[in-house]
Amino acid sequence: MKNVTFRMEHEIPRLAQSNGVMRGGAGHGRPAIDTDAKFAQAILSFSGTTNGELAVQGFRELEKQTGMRLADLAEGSAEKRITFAQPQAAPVPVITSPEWSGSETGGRRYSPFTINVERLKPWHTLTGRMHFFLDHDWMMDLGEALPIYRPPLDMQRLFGEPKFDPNGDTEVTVRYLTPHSKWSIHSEYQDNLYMLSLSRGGPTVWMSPQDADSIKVLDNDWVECVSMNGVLVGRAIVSHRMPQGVVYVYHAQERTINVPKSEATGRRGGIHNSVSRLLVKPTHLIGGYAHLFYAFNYLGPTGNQRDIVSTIRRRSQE
Amino acid sequence: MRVMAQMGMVMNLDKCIGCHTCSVTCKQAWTNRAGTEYVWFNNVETRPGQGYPRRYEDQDKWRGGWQLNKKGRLVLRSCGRLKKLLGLFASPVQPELKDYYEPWTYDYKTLIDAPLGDDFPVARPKSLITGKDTKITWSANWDDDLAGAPEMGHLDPIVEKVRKASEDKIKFAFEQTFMFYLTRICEHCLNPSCMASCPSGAIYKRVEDGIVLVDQDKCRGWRQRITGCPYKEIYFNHKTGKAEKCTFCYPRVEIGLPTVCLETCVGRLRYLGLFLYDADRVTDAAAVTDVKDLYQAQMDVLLDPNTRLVQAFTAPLHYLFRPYIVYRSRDKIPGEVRPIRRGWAPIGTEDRARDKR
Repeated sequence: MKNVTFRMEHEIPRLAQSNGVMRGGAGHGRPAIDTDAKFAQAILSFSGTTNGELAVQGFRELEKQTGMRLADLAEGSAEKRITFAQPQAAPVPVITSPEWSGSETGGRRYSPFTINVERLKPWHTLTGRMHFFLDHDWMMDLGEALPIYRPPLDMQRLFGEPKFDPNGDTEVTVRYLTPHSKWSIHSEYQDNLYMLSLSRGGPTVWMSPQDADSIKVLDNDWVECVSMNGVLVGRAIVSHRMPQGVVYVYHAQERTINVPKSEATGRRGGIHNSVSRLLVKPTHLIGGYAHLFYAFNYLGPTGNQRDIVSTIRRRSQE
Repeated sequence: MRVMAQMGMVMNLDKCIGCHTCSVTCKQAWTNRAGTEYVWFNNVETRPGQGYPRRYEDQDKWRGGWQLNKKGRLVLRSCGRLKKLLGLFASPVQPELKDYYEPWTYDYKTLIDAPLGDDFPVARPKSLITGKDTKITWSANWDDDLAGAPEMGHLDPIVEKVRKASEDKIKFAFEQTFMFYLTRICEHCLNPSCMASCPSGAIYKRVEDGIVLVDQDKCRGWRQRITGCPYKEIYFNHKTGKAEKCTFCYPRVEIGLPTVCLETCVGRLRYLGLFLYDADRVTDAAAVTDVKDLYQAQMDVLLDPNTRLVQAFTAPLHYLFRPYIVYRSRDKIPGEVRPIRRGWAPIGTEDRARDKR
């Protein structure tokens, strides 16, 4: 992971002790991960953010590579092990680990690239510095060596999604954007009783007055956002802060709070990502080139799963 | 000249990002109790917007603050003292729960206890007042970031006023509008109209730092002060039947800590400090009729502690009369056990009740 090798010779026997071992079959004698709880424990055991020994080990490894002092970021937590029971009981702060670029040592709040800036760890680029210009041949060929504006895809021609603009007076097709909200990191700092009392108390869809008018949606009406990928149910916030033809569904408003079943599918609501999907483009396939590489949940240059359209309908009100 | 001290807070609204951290930490510190579920001593409003409670700035309706009578003297906008006393048993003009909002919680228990099914379980909103299912139609900050403004923005009393004066100049259209955050706590006024309205005399302004506090033992819940305050920063605790308000975190200020809202402010827009003012000139400054003179009038009330005149008026003359050795006890009697007051129980419906865990 990020050019840091973690050695698991301590962790695997330790996991076998806590989880037990498999009997028979291909995994005979290996640590058991046959239940969801045991698998969750395995994830926590093998990450530096939840296993202090690995964090220190990883930083030591990185010290050799960079020649900079890093292990002190995790040394105080070397004995710390976060088990699956702990985050179930209460939120647990993670341990600073080379898997991430920020530091939470000493109660600091996470901020990206803290280790790169303060400890002079090189960035994972060819030069070791931040790059504004990417001189990979493919990026050049596609004209994306510098940050540029790309117009949204024509989802109707490409994937047969409905055309933009009102379609009769019951539905309107709009761009569906899922920005981060002003005060939260995913559900954290937003999905609690106080913050819900200081907003609208559940999932919301910000709409322009023009779009809302076209399907006769009033402020606080229940609406459904449907795409070929999925459906989100939320309450409309009609505001002139929104331009016509765009809706905002702020990131990670969970469907556990005040969401009825969807009329489109008969299933429970959905979250912002139910409607969006990842679209792979050629630059995503660049690999083995400094920071442009494949890793789980890291797919080279910026993803574009937000370039999506959705059809908004007013639904039956609760 | 009467030299008084006042703890003051300056808020640089340009720096406010509307994150509500101050509101949440204040609520956790002070109004996380039964009877105060709907109460936010500190809140952040988006303007244009109606605020909390709804349209509290509409003084024609809520009758808060002061006005000048025919003789040019300051009188309460609601009514005179005699009339107030005669009407004491009638309900005063005050916002109702629907003007604040009906506080709610969620049926969180369902998320854990629901039987296995095809769909995710969902926590429904439950009223913290009735305990029954509720539909969320208004909250402590419903119009956050211009939410619902096309439909309800005209109800902001200031928008109403400006539109009347300027023939529809405030537009509610994309790229033709504006918004800003308004952070609010109790003003701890130099001439508090809440205090003037309180028949019981339960509210007082502390001599040492000007913090305005409610004496919970003296308050008899007449609710006249709710009318009196033009900012509606006095709240009625419906469990104790007494009034409560922002305390300027006096237990923290007394030991040299800043208020909770200040300490947790992400934008660091709050500044705290003690200033001196001349109590004899407050009324004159408040009686200024031209809005443009208000700023200068306020500045004239403040005193520079480094002038001889101010120093002369604050000289400790009582030194002449007191004995050399003074014996006194600490204000709090050690070992004293105070009864637990009603209304200090934790809030929540059945599944949130902490005392049952």
